[in-house]
Order: sequence, then C-alpha cells, then structure tokens
Amino acid sequence: MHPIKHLYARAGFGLSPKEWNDKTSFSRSKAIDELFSHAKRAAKQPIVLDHSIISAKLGMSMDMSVEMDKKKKNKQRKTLVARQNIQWINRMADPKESALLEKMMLFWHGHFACQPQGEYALHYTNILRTHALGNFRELVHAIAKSPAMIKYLNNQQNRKKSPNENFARELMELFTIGHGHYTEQDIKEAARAFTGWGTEKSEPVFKFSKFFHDYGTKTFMGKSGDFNGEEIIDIILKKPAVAEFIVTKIYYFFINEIPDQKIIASLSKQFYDSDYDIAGVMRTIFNSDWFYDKKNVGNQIKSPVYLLANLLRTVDVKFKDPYVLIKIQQALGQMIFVPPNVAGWPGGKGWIDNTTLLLRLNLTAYVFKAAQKGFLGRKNLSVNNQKALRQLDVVVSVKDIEKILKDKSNNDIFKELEALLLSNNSVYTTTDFNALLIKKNKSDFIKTTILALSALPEFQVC
Amino acid sequence: MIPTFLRGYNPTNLMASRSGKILVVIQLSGGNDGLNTIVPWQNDLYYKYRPKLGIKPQKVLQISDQLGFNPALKSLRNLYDQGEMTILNSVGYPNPDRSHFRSMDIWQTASGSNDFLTTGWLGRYLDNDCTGCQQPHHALEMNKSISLALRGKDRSAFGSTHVRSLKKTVNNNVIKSIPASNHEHNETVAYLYKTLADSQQSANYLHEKSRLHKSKVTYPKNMFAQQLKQTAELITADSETRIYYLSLGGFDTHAFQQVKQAKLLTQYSEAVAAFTKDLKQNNLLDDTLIMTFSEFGRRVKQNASNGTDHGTANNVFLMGGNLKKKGFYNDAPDLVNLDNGDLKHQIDFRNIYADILDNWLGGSSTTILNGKFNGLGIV
Repeated sequence: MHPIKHLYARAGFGLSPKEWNDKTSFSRSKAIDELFSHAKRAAKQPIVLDHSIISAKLGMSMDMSVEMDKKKKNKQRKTLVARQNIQWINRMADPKESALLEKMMLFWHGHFACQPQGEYALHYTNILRTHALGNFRELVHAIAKSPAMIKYLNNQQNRKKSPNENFARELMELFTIGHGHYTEQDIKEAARAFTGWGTEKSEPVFKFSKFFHDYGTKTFMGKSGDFNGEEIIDIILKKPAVAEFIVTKIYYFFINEIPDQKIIASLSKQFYDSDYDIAGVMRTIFNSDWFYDKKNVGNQIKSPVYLLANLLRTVDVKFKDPYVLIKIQQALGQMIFVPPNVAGWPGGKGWIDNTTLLLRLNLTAYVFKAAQKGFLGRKNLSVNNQKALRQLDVVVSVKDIEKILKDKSNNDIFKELEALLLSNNSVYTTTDFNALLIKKNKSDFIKTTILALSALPEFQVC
Repeated sequence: MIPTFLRGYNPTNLMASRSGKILVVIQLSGGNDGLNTIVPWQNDLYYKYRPKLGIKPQKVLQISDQLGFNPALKSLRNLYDQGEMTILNSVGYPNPDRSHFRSMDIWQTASGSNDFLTTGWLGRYLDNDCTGCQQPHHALEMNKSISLALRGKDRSAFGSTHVRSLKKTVNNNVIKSIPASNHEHNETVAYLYKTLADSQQSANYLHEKSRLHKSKVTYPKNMFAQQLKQTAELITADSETRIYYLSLGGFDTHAFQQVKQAKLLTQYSEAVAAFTKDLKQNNLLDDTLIMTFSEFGRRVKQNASNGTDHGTANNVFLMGGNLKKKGFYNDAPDLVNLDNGDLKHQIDFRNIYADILDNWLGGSSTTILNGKFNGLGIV
C-alpha cells in the first residue's frame, strides 16, 4: 500500500478521491507537516452547535433554558447529544476539517470514556478538541473537572461524610496508570481529595463546594499532605508508568494490536521527558520507518465510526434525514458518546460477529440501493431489508471521482478505485465482478465498482 | 468463499456429538422487581414497605407458607407443581452495581464488581470447553447483535432474530459476488473471510434445521413467544445448537409498576409454559435447562411514583425435567437486615454458573469463571 495512504488511514479517516489525487505525491514530511499544522489551527476553533441539523427526530428546540416537563427535558438532552454525534461524524468525513485532530479526539473519547448528557457533550467535545494534541497533564485536569465526567462517575455525590470512590478508581485504573500501581487504600485517600468536586446545576461548569470537601491529611502513593484533587493528579503523573500506560494504548489504537515493547519503551521515555507532549509522540510515530512496516499496514479492523466516516469521505453521500447516521452506528455496534462502559471500546475483532460482519459487507449496497434516482444497478441488489435502514432517503454522487478519472479506460478506473479503497496490492480485475459491474456508462461503472470493492472483506481493514 | 461442493460437508460436523444437554438462557432486561414476582406474602415488612405496590395476600398465588407467585405467573404454576421449576432467592454478588450496563456486564461476563472483562461466561465456554463447536451455530442468540455473554476470545454465538429468513441475509447478490478467497491475506483479513464462511455455513445449517419441524403447540403471537417457538423447533429438529439466548425487555419499572410488570410477566410465563409443554411433548424437557435472570432486583421500599428503583439481589429461575432441587432452593429474602434499603445477596450468581458449567454443559467452571465457585447441587 502507498505509504501516504497508510498515514492518512491511521492519522485520520482515509482519503477522499480528491485527496487521493492530490496528496499521494507528497513526501512523508510534507504530509505530516500539513496534518499537524491543520490540526493546530483547528484545535483553536471550538465546536459550536450546528442548528441546521434538523429532522423529524431532531426537531425540538435546543434552548436548554426553555421550561419543559421531565420527560421532554430528557428528550431534549438526548436530542442535543444526537446532534453532537452527527456533527462529529460529519467532521470526520469532511476533508476540510482536520482529520488528525478528529482522530485524536476519537482516541481520547475512547480513553476518557464517558456518556455526556445534554449540554455536557459539547463542553466535553471541546475539552478533547483543545487538548487532544496538546499536553496530557492539562487534558487529565480538564477532563477531571468536566461536568460530563463528574456526572458519569458520580463525583458530585462524593462528599466528606460519604465519599464515592468511583471517579478516583477509574482515574487511576483506566485514565492514567493502570492496575498494579496503586492500592485500594490509595483509592480511598484519593477519593477524599476529590470531595466537593461537582457542577453548577444548569450550566456545564465546574463547581467546587468547600462545605463538602475533606481538607484533612491524606496519605497517597507514599506521600502525605492535605492534598486536593489537582495535587493527586500531579502525584500520579510523576510516575513514568503513566507514560508507558498511555503510550501502550496509543500503540494499540494507531499502530498494531500486538505491542512492540522496545518501541513502546522509547516512545514512553519521550512522552515522559517532554512532560506529556502528545503531538511530539504522534509526530515521532508517523515519522518512523517502522510505522510503515508491512506488519503494521492493512491489518486493523475499521471501527464502525471509522467505517462510516471513511465511506462518507470516499463517496459523496447525502442522507435526507441525518438521524440515519445514528441508526447505522447503532446497527454496527459503536455510537459516539455512548461507550459500553467507562473502559471504552475494546475494538479489533470485537467489532465483528456474524451479524455485524454481514451488515458491514452490505453497507455500501444499502446506501446505494436507497439512492435510487438513475442508478441502473438497482435491480442487482436484492439485499435483505434491515428495518433500521429500510427508509433510507439518500443522494449519492460520484462526480468528483468521475472528474479525476475522466479519460481513463474501465480497467484503469477499476485499478485506481482498487488502490483507493483497498489495502492490499492490486489483485482483482473487472472479470472478478462481472455479475455486479455495469459498463454502459462511466457513472454507473464507477458506482458498481465502488460497490463491488467495498463489499469485500478487504474493505473492512485499514 | 468455500466452493459449493464443500459447503455442506464439514468433517467437524460429522464428529461433533451433542451431549444431549441444552441450555436456554432468558434474560429479563431492565431489572425485574423480584419482590413482586416471588412475593413474601406472609411478611408484614413487605406490606409496610409497599403500601400501594404490595400484592395483597388474596391476590397472590400462595405457593409455600412464605412465598407466592405474582398472579401474572399463573401459567407457571403447573410447571412448579410438576417439580420442573427451581427458584433461588436473593441471588446477587458482592459490591452490587445499580447501573443497568454495569450490572448486566457483570452478570454476562461473570466478573467481580470492579473488573471489566471483554468476554462472556458462555463465550469462554465456547472457547475452552465446547468440543466440536467451531461453528457459530452451536450457540444461538435471538437478537440482532451478540450479547457480551456469548462472546469469547476466539468464538462467539450466531445471532438471528428470525431463523427462517436467514438465507436471504447471507445469500444476497452482494455477498454472492465476493470472489473465492484464493489470494494471500494477512491474518486479519483471513479472519474476516473465515468468519464470513462460518456465518454462511451456520446460517444455511440453521435455516435447514428450522424447516424440519413445525411445532404442534400454540404459542402467543408476541415476538418473545415466537422466538421460544423457533427455539423449540430447532431443538426438536436436533440442531447442534447447545445454547440458546433470549431477552425480554421493559422491566425497568420506576413508575406505575403494577400494570407494566404484570403485562411482562404474563408474556413471559405464557411463552415459557408453551415452550416447556412443547419440549415435554417431544420428550426433550429432560435434556433442557432454562435459566431466567435479571441484572438486578429493585429496592424494597416503593417510590413515590408507584414504582421501584434499582436495587440489588433478585431471584433466579431454573426450569427443566432434570432438576435436582425442585421448588424453592432457599428461604425468602431477609427484609430485616437490608443494605441501605436493598436486599443483601445470599447466593453469588457465579455459584449457579459453576453448577451449570460443570454439571450441565460439561465444562470447567474454574477456568471459565477465573476462580473456584462451588456448585449448589441444582443440576
């Protein structure tokens, strides 16, 4: 596979046809520089709610100050989160957005897994956005104080008289250092330090309640003092084990499920010595020859969110009802802002079982089948009508691809699309798919080629 | 794809012999209120805590001198009287979690309250102890997706909401267009091709089996009952499936519980009554064990909306023709010594799993449950 393609697959969500045309001639350093400078600019622009995402399911007023009964208020909160979800998928699919930043945000969302309610989702998203490629220490502090996380791990119930250990436990076990580096007593003591950490009632703002805070002396990881929550976080981060824990997760998500201890040790040292500079480690990864090694290429099962964003990036797909994006995530088994639990998404082969695999292989066909206008391939697609996708109302356009592949023969078009869509080197020819391919006109040939190739198991990896 | 002439022939199919024991798991999702299901009608505290919600003694189906059934369970009375039902009270685990997701994960993965496992207890059974179970159809979940309970490291169940229409899903033109896999693949892609081939094989297998036998018993029309009907038909058709997993949802009754729960329990009991009748008629009830559970019970005291909130320990039902301890396994729940208003568990659910794994499914519970849990002598 072309190394630039591999870079964009892991540092983003793949390449749109136009990007494929423009960027594969880039040198490795040019591509990396562009990715990081784009991300740096984008990190300074917080996300605002897009009010144009509207449909029957998403139509209610999003003004949180409007009085409503409890049931309606809950529905409003859910809708707000759904819109945020859709906005994020759209950003992941849009080449104008920073793919690297969005991918890093997705990684951190899985790491600091939480299910933000209502307005907290936007606030949480922007914390990820600001710090995803910044400093890990600042990221931890910001997440620890975010209403989304405080609520999710019940820290607003953590009070001097009745401490709640949930947040302290997950902070150490899942967010920073991992099993084996702290004791149960450490958790109890840390919980005391986080007492009084809560949120304002109606705004997504951190609120510290002196009245509920335990100001006493705590003994934590061998140190004694009247520590507050911030100090606990800093004590934890003094341990090099934190760097190793985080780098191991980064390695798993971006490079390979099988860890390389030597590389992880080297990256961990860099991470720790730089006082947790995330962008530094990511740059080193993408700049390293081993990153492009055969064993790391084309062997990662695309997550449902990646699969969806990647498909939308490749083919210009416009769903009339944006809520469909939610339905597809549900069917594939991953929904942004709804991780299965605080440990996030296990990923890898966990995405695949016989039901999800069949849906994945049929996904493009479902989308194309629904885009009926003028698509002659329609009668070839007797796909099973899954209830969730039955009422797809969608427009599919391959105009970008047509323009790029303007004067090419069918065989050349096929080869180009194979290189764009699949991770392996060219092995297929048009004769392999005679039953599906329509050769009468360019547009349908391109569409049916995309359909045929994205129905292959090979399309499921990146 | 596997060439057609090889598709029907799989050496492991010929060698796999069903031991004859089948497990059917019924999951009541949402946290079924155990105290209003198996009612402590002789306990004054029950009525003190539930002035409106308590089921009056004259309405309760009085089974023993301590406990009775919610009237909605009347279809199960016969099963109980025939000695084909075991009821275990106050089943739970230490440090109970009152979150749906967490508690359900704990029950499905058989983990400790603070551990996060990514495989299920039945998934690990498929991995470790289910000889000849290479094909996914050895465990069938009647659902659009596979629950964590049935996900192993290497193997997992087959999922389908409607077995008869399986053929369409795996044999449509798009899937058929995938060329025979005769290229070199990396391990991940090879895994995907294998999973697809296994799925097709299992789908075809189940589809064929589902057509062999039509049930002679009348089942209610709702989806849950129809899924049990499909299960009975597959068992009767001698499918190699050893584990069936079904869910019935809606039990999260925070408000106006009486009517909602009654409706669901009626649905549950009528379907199960038809199912056990069906199996019995075909002499298969002795080979079948049905386990019903919920991720937690509910709080002892009713709330202000005539409902109940998330609680802890709950009852578990076992049904079948081969039960060792018929009727009530243990005493009614202790309503005096509560844990902050919640029931304290008397039985750890993993002991039930251990019994089922060691004595029914023929597995090794110590490996699968990551520790020794003593059986209860129930199967």
